[in-house]
Amino acid sequence: MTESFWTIPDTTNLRTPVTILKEQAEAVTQATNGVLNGEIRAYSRNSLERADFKSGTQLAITVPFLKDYSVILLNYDHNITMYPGVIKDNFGNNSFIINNELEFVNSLKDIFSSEKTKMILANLLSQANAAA
Amino acid sequence: MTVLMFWNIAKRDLSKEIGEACREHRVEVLILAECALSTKQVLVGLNGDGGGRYEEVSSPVPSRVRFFTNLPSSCLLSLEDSGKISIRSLQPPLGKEIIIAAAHLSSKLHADPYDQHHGASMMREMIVRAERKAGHRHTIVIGDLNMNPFEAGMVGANGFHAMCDKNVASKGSRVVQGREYDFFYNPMWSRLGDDSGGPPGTYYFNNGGSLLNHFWETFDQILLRPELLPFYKSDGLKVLDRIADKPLLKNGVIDRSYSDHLPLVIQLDTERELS
Repeated sequence: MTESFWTIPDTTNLRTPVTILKEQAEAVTQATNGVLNGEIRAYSRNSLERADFKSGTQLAITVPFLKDYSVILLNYDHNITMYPGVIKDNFGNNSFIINNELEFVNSLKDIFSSEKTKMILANLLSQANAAA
Repeated sequence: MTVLMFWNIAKRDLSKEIGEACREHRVEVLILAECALSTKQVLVGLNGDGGGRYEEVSSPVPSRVRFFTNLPSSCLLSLEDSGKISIRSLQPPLGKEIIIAAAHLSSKLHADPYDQHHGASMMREMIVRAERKAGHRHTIVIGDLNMNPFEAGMVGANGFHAMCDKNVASKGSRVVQGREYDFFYNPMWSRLGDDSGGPPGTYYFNNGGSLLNHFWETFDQILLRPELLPFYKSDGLKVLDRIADKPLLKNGVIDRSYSDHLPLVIQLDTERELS
């Protein structure tokens, strides 16, 4: 049998930012019984742009009762190592450099619990309910 | 005739001037940036003597651009928002639907050229998504993009890809490194400088201490998809340097007692049947 020189890392407990964003997208969908749908969208940055972070993921909320009206809450720009990256809160007009999972999770908690985000969710829910 | 006006009013109370401009140019859709006025204040200017029937069609979420219209409010459907960008579908009683992608993008004070390019790229993706959802590309981009028409974010294929030539834009798209990018036509190229038939730009800033000083910038722009070109005439786009009898320029530069930006007005003959 061939001897393997590889050391395969244990990724059982590794949660990437994309995984965490997907979980949160599902969480908002479940918490609102599908009135609001969390959605994850990937994008890439072209070679003309700065090379620090070549990929990105955004979290959007879509509202089926409003003809799939969509709001992009935040963007996370990163590279293949996922950290560091930059999280942009589109409605708080803030950007934060993220160095690890803990900082990422804390930033998400701050954004999701902010008054602006709560107001956005309230507006979307009330308009969706009115249109239902 | 569909008439749109955009103005970054720099947080000034220009409700009277806004109303005069909208009446003078028969504006149907008004888009304002840096508007700190209440809805009521704007509507007093717009509807003045009670003869107008403008109303604000608010975005479901906070937005840096605000929409007002004298068409039924149901004509302006929200498609997507991201704070700086608001994409609407305009479905006028006469004529077919157009997509209005309005924006007040990041200032050069807060974003370097790479970030501005990225902002253009993100807005382009929003527009493409809206066009796919709507099933057409009758799209107009309007707003304070905080870039000049010649900057990479405006011209780059992964930015707005906005060309100065209708013939080039009418080719529809081009393939770069295996990926297809759709064109916009940018009529603002023809509004650069003092031989443009209007003011030399839309924003004046004398950055006296810098080696690179444009003095006049054209940050406020209107872009058109080639599919809208049959409904656009060159004289249908104006950078206003006067509202009624009030000049918006003083001593050859923008009179900042109004705004530090000039308004844009565009007419599209979309009441003709769109193909």
